[in-house]
Amino acid sequence: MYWRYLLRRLLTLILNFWVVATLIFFMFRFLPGDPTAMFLDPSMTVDVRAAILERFGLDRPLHEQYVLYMQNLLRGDFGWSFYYSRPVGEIIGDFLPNTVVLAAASLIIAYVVGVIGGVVLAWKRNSRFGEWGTLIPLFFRSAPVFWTGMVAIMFFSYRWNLFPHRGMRTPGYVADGFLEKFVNPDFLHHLALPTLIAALYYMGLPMLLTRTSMLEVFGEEFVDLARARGLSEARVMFVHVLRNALLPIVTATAVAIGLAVGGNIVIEYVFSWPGIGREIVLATQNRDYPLAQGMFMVIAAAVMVANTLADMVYVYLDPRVTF
Amino acid sequence: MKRQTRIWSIMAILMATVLVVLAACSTPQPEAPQATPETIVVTRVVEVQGETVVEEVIITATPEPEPEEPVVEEGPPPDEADLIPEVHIVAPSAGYDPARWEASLLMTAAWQELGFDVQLQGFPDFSTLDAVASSDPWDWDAFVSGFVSRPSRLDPDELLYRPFHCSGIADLGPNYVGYCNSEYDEVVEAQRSALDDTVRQEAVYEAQRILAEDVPTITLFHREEVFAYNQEQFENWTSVAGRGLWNIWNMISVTPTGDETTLRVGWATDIATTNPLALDSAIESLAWTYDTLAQIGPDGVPVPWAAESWTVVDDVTVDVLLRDDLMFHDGEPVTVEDVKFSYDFIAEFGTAGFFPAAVSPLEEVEIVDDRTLRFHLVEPFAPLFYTTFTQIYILPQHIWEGVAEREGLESPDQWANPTPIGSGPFQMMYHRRGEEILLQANPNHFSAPQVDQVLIVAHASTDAVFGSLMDGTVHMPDRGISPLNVAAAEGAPHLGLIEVRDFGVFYMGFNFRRPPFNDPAVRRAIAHTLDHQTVVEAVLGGFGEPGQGMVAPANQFWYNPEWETWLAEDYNFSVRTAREILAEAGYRWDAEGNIYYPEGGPPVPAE
Repeated sequence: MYWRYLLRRLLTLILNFWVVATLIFFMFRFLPGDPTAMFLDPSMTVDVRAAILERFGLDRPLHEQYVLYMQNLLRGDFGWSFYYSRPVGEIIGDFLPNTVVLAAASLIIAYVVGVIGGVVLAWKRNSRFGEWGTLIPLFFRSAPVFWTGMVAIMFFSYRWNLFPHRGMRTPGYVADGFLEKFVNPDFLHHLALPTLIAALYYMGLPMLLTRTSMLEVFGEEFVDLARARGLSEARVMFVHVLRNALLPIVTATAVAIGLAVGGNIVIEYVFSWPGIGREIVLATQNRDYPLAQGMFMVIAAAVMVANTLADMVYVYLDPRVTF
Repeated sequence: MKRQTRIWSIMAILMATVLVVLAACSTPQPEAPQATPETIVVTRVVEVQGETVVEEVIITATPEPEPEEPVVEEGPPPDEADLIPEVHIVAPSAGYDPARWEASLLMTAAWQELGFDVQLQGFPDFSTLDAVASSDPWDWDAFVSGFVSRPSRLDPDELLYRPFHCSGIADLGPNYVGYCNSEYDEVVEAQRSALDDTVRQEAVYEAQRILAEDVPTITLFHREEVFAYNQEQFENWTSVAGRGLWNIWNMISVTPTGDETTLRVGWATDIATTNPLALDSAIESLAWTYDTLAQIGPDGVPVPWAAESWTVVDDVTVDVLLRDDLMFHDGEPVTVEDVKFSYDFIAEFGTAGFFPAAVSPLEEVEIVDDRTLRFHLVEPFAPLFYTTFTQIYILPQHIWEGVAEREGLESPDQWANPTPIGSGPFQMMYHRRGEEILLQANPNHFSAPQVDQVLIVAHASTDAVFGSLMDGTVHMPDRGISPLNVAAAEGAPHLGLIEVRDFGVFYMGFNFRRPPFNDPAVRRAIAHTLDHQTVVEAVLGGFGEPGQGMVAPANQFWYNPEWETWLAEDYNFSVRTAREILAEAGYRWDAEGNIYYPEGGPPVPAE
């Protein structure tokens, strides 16, 4: 039964991919402007312009371009970036890991701290701490990230000189290979500030969600039963209540993971982080269709895969969920 | 319940505080086009020793010398059919370029005073303007655009020929305005074929005179940039008009004062590729890796570089003597064969946008002897030294010949060229996309740099670059710092400042295809509606000069000095003069001050 469900889910996933790929393709074609605008120059003649369009295959009818695009996509070929004059896969491969590292670090911190904080807030809801505590996640959720980021840079970098304000590594670093590039003190030093700011922003959702969701479970009989069994309050909170309040948080996590792959454009901009978010903006501005399409496909894929995984985790978390 | 209320009220206060701080921090968007021209409030966020200070500067526009006397129409009121319909202007939006947007606002306010009904539409980026132009061709009355300064644009031909020559009108050619004047065409054709600089200068002056008279465009302003640099760790900085410190002469002259021998440059961009066949922008970092036959000299005129000298044999023949001490970074000598190969190869496979203009004037490159090359031109082409000799890289034949087959690519422009081998003063050691570029000094070069290395470090914005300048992460920026940061830079003892005049041209063009701007009288009147003083002082914060045609004053050799007179007489700000010119041409106003065409409808200009 479970396997049939899985198969069905997988088929939907593929169908969704096709729909998204099609939407993305036409979305960019219907944007005003074309890639020649970025080359536009008084020295450019009409012939040159036509030649550029021909080189990119943009002079062909739309349906032909679409079929070609789909064929290439099936073979895992995202096409050739107009702007970089390199395969789209290579460009995404260069920027995606940077975004993923930052997103993973901040999401892990945000969700671990957020969920624990949410439990504590729900637990101590009647105390002064429990009431005032909700202000903190609300504040960071509402404050614009560029502002918290700039304030953090002003104090932690310019004022106290504790953390670097830009980039992923000290300029002129020596590093080869993935591990050496991402696991070293210098990189972690650069990672700290953007991670903190992103985590503070992401944290609000799981914290408040956990709190609300736990408050709903409090009235259930099994909570009273657990207390009656003489379990410690902490055990009641973390093992019994949280366990049953977790479902909406899993959904929220899946969506967050999916979107985080698209990069946090603002964080990446404020901290000069060479991630995928800024590249998407650039690719769209340059009308670099293949690159923008490829990047949107990656984001769509992340959202869809994360949601599928969340659906599967549901089964484990809530045995009542059947197919 | 009580507590709940208290919390919410505290939260409300907190949010209000955040909002106030935000409002103070963000630069206000310019108001709708109705803004009055008299006063402008400019909010500046200035960082002084870490403190962010918001200051409001109220600038009062230059007052008219005499009080406005409304031209009162006598006789019957004008016919409703002659009312000039809404004038449609497209301009870069405030987010794209605040300076051009605000200058446009100032101008339209003056037009409204003249009785025009003006609609100003912002476009967010160039692609959109281009799309508007191509989907709905020429459905505007005026547009605002610009040519940023690039070395090749020092040659007057680039901005005078195609954007104004009749041949540039063809469907989507660069002559956006649709200006066509046979007298002008003759003059620009003459300057193009005059290989003698003095003869050419005269023609270029004349071209500027005709444009100033016909007013197809009005230049809004020329910028001035401020470069900050680290004067503690490096000395002998060389600044060049239009390029600032980001130029080859600076890269070879800048000298360490102490132990730091790596010059770190902060830039808010990145190169798209290290393949010179496909690289379209930010060309200099690659231009320091490859040699060209000529370089644009510090005074804006091309000087021999990889060429030892050149001789103009006749109108269509130029002989070039190649230096004999050139060596590629892999140790191979640079020969005349490499040069000929490069020109032929780039003509065939180069895809960057500027190549066609650079190689199309060439008929053939011929090897005369082991040091001399003969360039045969299709027709006399004076910009050869600017657009061709300074932009075509000398590539090593032994690396690029057959590269597509070797790497299994469709064409050579697709090659990643991971470790570019050229013969320039710097060898590119690596390019880490989105992060940095390392250039190693080439000690064997005839103009060997004083520094050991140049490290070009990517940032997300010019503000981030400035932060790196302040804390010593980088020693110089690739472009001018924001005027808002100048005060902070002045307060930093380790930073020196240089002001650089820019030769970029930011202008408003008029649609010659339909009334009202196809009437020369209207354009002559409109020439008096730009308040240059306010533009320079308020919009540019003092960092700029009044707009003076298509050749900026910074481009000293080609700039027509008569512009000073024209600026004072024909382009001075006076709505009153504008109104007089219009009235003289028969334009009429009704009681509400709306402007009407002369009797008989829009005049048809005789061209």
